[in-house]
Amino acid sequence: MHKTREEVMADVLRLLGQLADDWEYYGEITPQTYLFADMGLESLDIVVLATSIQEHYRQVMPFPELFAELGQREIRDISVGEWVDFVYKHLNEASGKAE
Amino acid sequence: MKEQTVLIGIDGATFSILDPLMDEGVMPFLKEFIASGARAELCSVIPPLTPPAWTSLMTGRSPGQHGVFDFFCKEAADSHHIRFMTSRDVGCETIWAMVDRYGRRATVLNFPLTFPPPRINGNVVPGGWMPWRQLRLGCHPAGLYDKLKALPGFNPRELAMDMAHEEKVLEGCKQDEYEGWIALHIRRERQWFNVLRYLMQEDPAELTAILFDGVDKLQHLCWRFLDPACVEEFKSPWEQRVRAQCLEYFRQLDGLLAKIVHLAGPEATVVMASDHGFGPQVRTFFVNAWLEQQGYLAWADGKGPRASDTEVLGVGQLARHVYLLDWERTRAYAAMPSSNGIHIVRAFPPLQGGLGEVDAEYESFRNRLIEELCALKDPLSGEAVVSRVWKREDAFAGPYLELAPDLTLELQDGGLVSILASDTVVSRRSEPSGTHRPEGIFVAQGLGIRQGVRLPALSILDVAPLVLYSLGLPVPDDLEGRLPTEVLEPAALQVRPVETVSPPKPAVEPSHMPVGPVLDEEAEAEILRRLRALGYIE
Repeated sequence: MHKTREEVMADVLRLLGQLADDWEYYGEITPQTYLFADMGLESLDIVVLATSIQEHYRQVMPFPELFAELGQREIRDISVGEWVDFVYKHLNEASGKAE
Repeated sequence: MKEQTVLIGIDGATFSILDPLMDEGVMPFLKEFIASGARAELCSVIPPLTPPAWTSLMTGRSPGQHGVFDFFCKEAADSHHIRFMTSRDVGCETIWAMVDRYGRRATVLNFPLTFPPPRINGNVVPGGWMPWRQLRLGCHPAGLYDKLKALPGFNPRELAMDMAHEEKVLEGCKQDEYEGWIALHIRRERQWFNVLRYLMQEDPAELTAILFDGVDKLQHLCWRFLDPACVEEFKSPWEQRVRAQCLEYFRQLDGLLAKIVHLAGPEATVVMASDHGFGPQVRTFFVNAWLEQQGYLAWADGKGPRASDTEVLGVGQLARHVYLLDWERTRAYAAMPSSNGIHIVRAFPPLQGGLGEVDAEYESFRNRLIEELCALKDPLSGEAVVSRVWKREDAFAGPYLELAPDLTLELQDGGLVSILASDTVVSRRSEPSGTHRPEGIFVAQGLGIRQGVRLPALSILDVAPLVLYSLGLPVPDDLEGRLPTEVLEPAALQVRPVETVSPPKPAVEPSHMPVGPVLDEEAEAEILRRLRALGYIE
């Protein structure tokens, strides 16, 4: 499945926006928004989110590597933009159309 | 609508608790229901644990066939990493999928391993450890969550798992927090009932299945307030209040059961079942400490995780075996405290350590472990600590054998192992806690169901065939469970004999696809808190 970065960003923002409404997060969600610090997500939320992304695109992605890398960071957090970059990269690697 | 069946799961329910409650007048509806229906003990699977047991109930197959052995599974047969199990890991068809295949509808509420939700004709709200923030993603079909959100009093934080909510009363479970925690579970069951009532009224299905999981949680944490053997010891007003609040939970649950049966109507078949039973655990067996003592396990830091460390370790706790074991000197370890499994390390080149690739060496080592485990005695009582050890091919024969623990233990007191390091291998608990037992409950009522009979024990694998039969559907002939004809009136069986059928080859082979990411350290820490909250960890 080939998707442009803009399409992946739109998909992720739509998903997060839909969910944020459920937990009454009313802040703006942008590529600079951090999932933990800004949106208040917990680790299991991220695990489920990753599962849902893979379901949505019907593709397994190396989220374990992303999470392992997150664990090494001084501040354990990830922005929406980084999340999108990760999904975009692996989505298009699989389809052989990475730009 | 054609035949209707309601399946009510009551996680961890056991007659040893329910019978006294019925006798005391706490659960009058259940007493009446049983008196006019059929009851039996329901034998769980190995291990008698929520994910494998409910999956067996909903597939009619044993863990070796469906591939669910625990809350988690190894990433791969030769991996030390573990990951969450999801619905994608259920390796065979569920009853909801079968019902769907015959063009019927199903409503499935709060069952584990239903996320990502199966795309059946009907409604699904997943249970287990579905975080409340993500509940929308688990609801099927699209639009269901918005309908539920519009229900009066709907609160996803109470319906699904909100650890922040539970933690307030579970971290340490101070005395004054017990009552609030029990009240939360009363509210949670009401939340699920409200969802069920809405769907039964507005979007009815031939099969409606709901799981109430508060019984399991109460029995883990409040066993001594429920076990008739302990009740007379209560002296303090606080103990009496907690006991009263526990009874209130069961009283409320009884009321919900009555309402569900009323909603289902007189023509419906109603089956109540639990995934396993419950009983007291009196001692703690530190299995990794024992393995270390035997020379089969080594901690990289020389001391391993201690009970006193659990609050401060913070990261990597669930998979701490990965970080804390010395893999070159470890031959066997227990990774999880929930399923009493021991994994034997087999390191194939170029990896070092473990038993290597010689099968004879593996077999010899495994036999030695069994012999030594069975010889282990409680130093205080002289009793055997381990009553039985299963080799994996004996407990989990099937296509997922390679992912199963090499050995699975049954402890003499029915308890769960501790995976912590410890200076003592066996210790006595200051007070008994609740833990799983294989003997769950089965109760059924409806047209064609015998009335007022107490039957010999059934297998949890038999529930799926009975549900299919009650819906007028054929039973796949490759299920491990059988139709328990002793539950049925002979005349009913004559009118409608069981029809068996060869199941169609699935369009897509079960994938066991690892859609659930391997757990990161922070997620593991959170899961550890949940396991502790559920009583699986000291």
